[in-house]
Amino acid sequence: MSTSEPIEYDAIVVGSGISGGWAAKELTERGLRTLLLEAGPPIVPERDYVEHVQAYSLRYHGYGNLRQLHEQQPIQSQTGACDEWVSKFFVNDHDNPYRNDADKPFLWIRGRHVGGRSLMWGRQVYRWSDLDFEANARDGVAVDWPIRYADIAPWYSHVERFIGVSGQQERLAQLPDGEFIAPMQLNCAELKVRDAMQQHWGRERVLTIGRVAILTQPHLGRAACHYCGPCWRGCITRSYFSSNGVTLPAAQATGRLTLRPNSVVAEVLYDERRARASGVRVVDADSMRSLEFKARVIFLCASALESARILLNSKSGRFPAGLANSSGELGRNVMDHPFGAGAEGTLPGMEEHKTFGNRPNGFYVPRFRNVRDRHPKFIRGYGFQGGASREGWQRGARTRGFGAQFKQALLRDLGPWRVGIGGWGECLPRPDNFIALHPTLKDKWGVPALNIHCTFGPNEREILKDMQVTAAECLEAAGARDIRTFDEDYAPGLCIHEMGTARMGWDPKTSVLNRWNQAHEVPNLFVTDGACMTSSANQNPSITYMALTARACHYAVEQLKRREL
Amino acid sequence: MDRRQFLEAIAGISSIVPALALLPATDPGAFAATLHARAQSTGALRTLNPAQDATLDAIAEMLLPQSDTVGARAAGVNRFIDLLLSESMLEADRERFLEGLAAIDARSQSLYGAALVAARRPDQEALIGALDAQLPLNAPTAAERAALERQPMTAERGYATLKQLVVFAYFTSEPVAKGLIDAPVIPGRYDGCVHV
Repeated sequence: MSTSEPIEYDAIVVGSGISGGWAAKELTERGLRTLLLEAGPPIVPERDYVEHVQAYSLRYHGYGNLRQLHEQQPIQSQTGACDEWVSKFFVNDHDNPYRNDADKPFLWIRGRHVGGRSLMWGRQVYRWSDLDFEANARDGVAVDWPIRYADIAPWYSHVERFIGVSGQQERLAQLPDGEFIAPMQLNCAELKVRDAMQQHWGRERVLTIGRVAILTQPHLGRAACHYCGPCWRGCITRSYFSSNGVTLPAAQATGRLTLRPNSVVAEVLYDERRARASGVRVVDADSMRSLEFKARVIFLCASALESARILLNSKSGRFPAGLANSSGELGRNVMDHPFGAGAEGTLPGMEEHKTFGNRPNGFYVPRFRNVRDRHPKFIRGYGFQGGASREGWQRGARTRGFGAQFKQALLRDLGPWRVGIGGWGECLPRPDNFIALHPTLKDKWGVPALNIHCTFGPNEREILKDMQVTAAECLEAAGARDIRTFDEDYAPGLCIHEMGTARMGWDPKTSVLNRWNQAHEVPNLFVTDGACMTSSANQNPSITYMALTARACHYAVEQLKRREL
Repeated sequence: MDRRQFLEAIAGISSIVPALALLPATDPGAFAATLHARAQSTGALRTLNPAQDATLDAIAEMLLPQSDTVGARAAGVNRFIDLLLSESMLEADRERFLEGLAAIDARSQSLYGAALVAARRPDQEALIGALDAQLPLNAPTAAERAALERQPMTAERGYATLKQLVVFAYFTSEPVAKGLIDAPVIPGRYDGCVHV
């Protein structure tokens, strides 16, 4: 740490991922001198982005070094994006340990570097509706959300206008339209599935192009997508949303941002006299020295489990069980979307047609269960994501034949149209899905590791079953052949939508955060990542974190101006 | 260089080319390229012994033979698979791969009284044809994979794994991926429906 570094800031933001990037942008643009602390190293796009590197340029042609992955990243490598190109964007599992019960695996997939998982995320963005915000109250599950769609809708717009969201207006109450730029195209096979579903189910099961944070046209100085395909390996043209490409440059442009990588936040410091958070204690990842930084307001955006871990580790006389945790809800109600179940099949015909370019997006079917009807076996529902494509040479491993003609066919022709549909389901909040500090195990930087207790319950399992049936129905309606249902039986965590560990609520006795993502008990402490979620809905959550973050920043700055924090 | 000159030139390395009989004699250029690739690859092998390499090479070239486009051998398939076996594959997977190769040879032995590379060409093709006819058409689920791994190795399973690796090695090799597959790195646009 250089001695010229000021140690008192207006705001500290912990974590530079999707939520932290937004907090840095909003707070600096509203005039706050902001310190952004990131646990991992910097990212240099010109050096680190590898989206255009071809398989043959890699030592293992994309097969990967499985021995090394197995040794260093046995957990991280269970997600497909942790490949030979960008396993470097995922943590080393030895340096970042955690534990779970042997029979209750939880997969915690993390990126520790500037930008966090905004570099490798799936880019799917869907607004929630009041079907989601009212769900807990309606079903008598957990606690009620302290906000409704009207509270967040303008902030969804605020976010969408800045990041650029490509999508198609559909006028569905359960999945509100956003402020979209031009949609990507559905391909011919997907159009056929869409039309068949429309014929069978009308407006009940609607197939639309995925809504993605990818530019289909130039937007605020960023270039349109050039359809190279593998977004998760970086994007030198900044065409998809990442902190690195979008929010951090905006924050830096204000001149009020100090970004400090390699800064592992171990705890939030609490001033009992003022009854406020006073700063954070950081372990410098290079020197292993302990440092303290002070600020008037603190935003935790380190990801759901990390932010809760930091708070659990922030113990004081006033908060012996972790900062802002008189309710005992801190660390509880872990959720992750059940996914990996659905159906696939072959769509005959259209053999004279193919696609051109690599569309980094698929189709989406908004939730249709428990929207108007009431399913006998489960509450809530799921959305489908899928796509149709014709395989190239990759089909060779599962295609019979050999010899010169076989080779030429793989080189020249394409396989039939294959359609896959998979569900992303809602997960109910349960107090017995919880994280706690491990009594002895610590990470490389001396921060106590987590014990994670999380399983899917009967409602999630019923949802996973129903996904397979209805996905197969959709394929059948479209005339698909060789329909095969699947359930990959993924452990929770693998959807990388973990959330819920510091939930929002009306009552300080049963929730950690209020309707502004502000800790009930520590007014200058905000948590705006996935930890704040009171329920999970089934939509991909990132845009909701962005909108809640922007909204909380606006509120925090107003409160600071009124000297009420 | 004609064929005769070429054969003299490579006389010193012919001992490491056990499958000479499989090479096409009609195109000296391709023949030369093939032998150079093979000599280079054989020299670098770290896991496959000469017999295993010959079996793999013979099957790979039967699957994806030299024609007016490069074949498996010229694309360096055996060298690349040897690299995966030596550096990347988990030990259990490597052992299963080698067991699979042995199971194919054992099948050849029991049917034709000779290891695959020593069998007559029609017998080789009949065996690969029979194994290919059993190729699973769907990728196994995780549960199916786990169940299979507990079963003893068979020539059919060995062949399925081998075919998968040969296809991967061939189509991701630079001469094929860069030279033969028409897929622009930066397409610049997406069109969901164009004529083939």
